Amino acid sequence: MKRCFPLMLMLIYFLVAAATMTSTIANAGTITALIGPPSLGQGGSNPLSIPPTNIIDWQASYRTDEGREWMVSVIPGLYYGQRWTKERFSLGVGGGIVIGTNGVGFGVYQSLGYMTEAFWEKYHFEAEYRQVIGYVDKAAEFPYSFRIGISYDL
Amino acid sequence: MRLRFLAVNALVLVFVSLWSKPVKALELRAGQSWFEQGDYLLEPGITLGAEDAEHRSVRFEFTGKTFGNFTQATGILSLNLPFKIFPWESVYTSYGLSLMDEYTAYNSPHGKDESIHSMNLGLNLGLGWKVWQGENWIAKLEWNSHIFAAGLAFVYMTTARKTVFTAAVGYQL
Repeated sequence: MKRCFPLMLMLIYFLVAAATMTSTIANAGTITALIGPPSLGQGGSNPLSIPPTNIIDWQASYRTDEGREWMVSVIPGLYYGQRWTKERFSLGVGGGIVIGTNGVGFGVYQSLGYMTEAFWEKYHFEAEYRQVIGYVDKAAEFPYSFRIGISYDL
Repeated sequence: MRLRFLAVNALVLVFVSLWSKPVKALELRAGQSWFEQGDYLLEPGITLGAEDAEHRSVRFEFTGKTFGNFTQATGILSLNLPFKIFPWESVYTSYGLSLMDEYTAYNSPHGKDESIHSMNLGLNLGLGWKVWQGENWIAKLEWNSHIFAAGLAFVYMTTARKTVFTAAVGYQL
């Protein structure tokens, strides 16, 4: 687990850099923090850590108003993609670095998200299912996550 | 086993071609599928489906195997609704409900045989690509994911998932 912290720090730096490069006053975007256990190929996801201190359960993302999205997590990894939103549902596809049980590789994802109307002006509840196909160490991996959390309009 | 799958698919296509009508109101399709059931292994299977003019579809996906005295099979019946969101005509998405039956049987060489059906209801998300379309025929590649709540453990967000990759040929009636 200790090895995860430098990696997570790199991922957070990437997210901050991406958000800094792409955000403007006219295109502020949205940041999200979601929690939920990912599946690592053992048949399904393990229970959520109680209290939720396990970094593996978390993911953070930044997306622009045009739907470009950067997502960081330990598992399934680090991704860039495009979201299309219709009513309160959004569907995303993209690719990036998959982090699996056998190491690090490349992967593509599809995701389905749902976001509520805003409360306290800028906050939303959000749920997301994300399915990845990855290629790690000469083998395919299929990690996925179902996570819920909060998003904030910048 | 692969020959048996191909034979089933061929029979379905022959049946469809005999049953064709001038109005293209329904598309029937069959194909080869590959199941991933949370263990990062791809198991071969079959897919059968029917889709109406509004792109609402019913799909049945099946995989199974026998090893030693055990038989294991998974069947998923799903209702899929279109979610038109992509700007490209040939790429499509769907969502819907999935009903799954996981069957496990033990054929005892000496004692009593045992078997169990485990049913589960879940949601699905699909991403597809129309590879080719002729006058009546259509070829599609699909990536469908079914996610299920894992009983009471869902309180802790524990889930189960089946991912199905499909290469199918359809005939429009």
